[in-house]
Amino acid sequence: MSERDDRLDGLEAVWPAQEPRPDFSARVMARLDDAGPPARAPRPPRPPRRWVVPALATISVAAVTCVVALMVTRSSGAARAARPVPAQGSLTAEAHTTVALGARGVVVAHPGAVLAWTVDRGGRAEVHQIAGAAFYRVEAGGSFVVHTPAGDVSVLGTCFTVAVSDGVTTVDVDEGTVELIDATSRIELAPGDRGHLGGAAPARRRPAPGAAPAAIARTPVVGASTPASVPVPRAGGGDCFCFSDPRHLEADQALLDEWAGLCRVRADLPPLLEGTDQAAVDAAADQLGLVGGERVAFHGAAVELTAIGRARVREIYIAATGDSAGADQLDVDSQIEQILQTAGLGEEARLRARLSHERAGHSAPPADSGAITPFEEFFRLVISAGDDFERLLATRVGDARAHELRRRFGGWPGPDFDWFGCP
Amino acid sequence: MHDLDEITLTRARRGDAQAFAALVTRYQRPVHAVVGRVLLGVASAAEVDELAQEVFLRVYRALPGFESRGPGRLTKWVLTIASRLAIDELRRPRARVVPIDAEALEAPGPAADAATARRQLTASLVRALETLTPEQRATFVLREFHDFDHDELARALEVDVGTIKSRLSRARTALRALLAEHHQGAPTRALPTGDHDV
Repeated sequence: MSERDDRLDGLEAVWPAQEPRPDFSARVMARLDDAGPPARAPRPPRPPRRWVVPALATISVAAVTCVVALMVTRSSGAARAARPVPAQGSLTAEAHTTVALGARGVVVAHPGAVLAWTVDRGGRAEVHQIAGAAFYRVEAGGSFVVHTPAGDVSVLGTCFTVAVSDGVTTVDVDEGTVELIDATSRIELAPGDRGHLGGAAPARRRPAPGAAPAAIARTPVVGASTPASVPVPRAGGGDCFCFSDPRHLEADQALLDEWAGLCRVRADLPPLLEGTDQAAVDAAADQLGLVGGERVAFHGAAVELTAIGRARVREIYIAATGDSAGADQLDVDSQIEQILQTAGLGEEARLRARLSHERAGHSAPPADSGAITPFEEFFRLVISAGDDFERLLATRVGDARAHELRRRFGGWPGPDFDWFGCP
Repeated sequence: MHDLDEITLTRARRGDAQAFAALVTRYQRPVHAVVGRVLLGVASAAEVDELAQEVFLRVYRALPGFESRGPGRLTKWVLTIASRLAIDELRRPRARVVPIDAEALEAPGPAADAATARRQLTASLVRALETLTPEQRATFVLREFHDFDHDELARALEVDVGTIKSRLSRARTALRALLAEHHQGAPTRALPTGDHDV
């Protein structure tokens, strides 16, 4: 007898299902605020740190992350370099101002931030943040607490932003862990979380990605062992993205028009160095089957573009913040985070709309480069990186060969930049 | 039922609130169906609602670790979580809940007769279910109403296939007797009606 044959007839009529209440979904979603973020899946091997990759992870909610990378690794970061360290101090920032907190880290005070700090001989740091926003990168050491009017932020990790406004303290965690403490509760925030102190409710947290109307996706690595596309049904609606779409260089006019309608910008990302680590470059060269002189040329182009990119990010950071000292103190990922935080309300989506229409040929790039904001300049740097790499490689292997290598997989091997969502 | 589309699932796994709300909307009925049926006679409607919420909170926490493979997999993963929670709830010592049918409290008449018959039938079903263990109930519900096959049941409830067959046999024996009694003795108008599409 098969599994099916022994079913009982008439059972549904006897044993009806309970129907959910109409507001069930809304009530579940309301409880998520108290439930905390989803557990994190076992981490896959970390992708190569490349200065263009960070944008994928950071721009969606302008809650920046420290996963960015470039050029200067943390261990060699200027933030850790010896500098005169005030044991205590205070600051009312009129512009972006970077201050070293002894050996415990760096704080970038945004305009309007009011801070006072002490670091004792044992490395224990206390910061009183009375007003405004500040970005912190904390190095290992003793306790590190940021006191705000609404409660304390006890730092167990390395990278986060604290904003004090109207009696409410908002904390965005980019890397590591922090704990929010007020009179009635304590709550731990993990990377990607946003937490609040003050207001009507006790310390609470919510997963930051939930607030993001826009989305960032990273398409699968294209290579011999990975299909160039994953067959996924195309979703309807204005903000769909489809893994089965061709890559950037393979898009025809109709697809570019469609992407413009979605305010979607795709770009291939060239392989770059992470610090001095060339693993991503090696992987790309392997996928392209490069050996001998061509492999050397490929590495040379990657090294050159990495250096150019680092320098450009530094320039953009200074243009964004006016903080030359910070450019010397902060590593590149922190500089990018600060650049991203300069975006005005809605600027991200408006930029996507402009760039996607430019890509489709509906409009021309701005003639006046002086009108471009640092935020926009950074993204133009990211999406032109593939072209820049092709040019640098062409000087070594010739135009035709560089052109052919880039198009072999519809763009440079590795993850794509995929950014979408209209204003 | 169709599973959630891959794009929405991917977004939900990243923590996108809208996408997760879509997941809740998609699976709220089968989750209520599993929890409500397994806990029939034990939990009130409000408690079933509460437990269904807990199911989705657990789904939310576990979703980043979910690996989508093949059609129907997400549905069965969600319902597995629901059935395990329901089993745990069933094991918890508690007072018995007798469903109240408001119609039965009204004045005598055809509607009241039907309601009375429905209530009697439910009481009989509850008595039949009381002879089953929590695991037998859950096994039976997933098999009869949600198309789990023996292998899927064995994986979901972490027992071997032989145990699954044994549980199903026990449950069917108990419920077949109830159904036979019902079909022989109950007037047609007393049969519960309603939409049972889950």
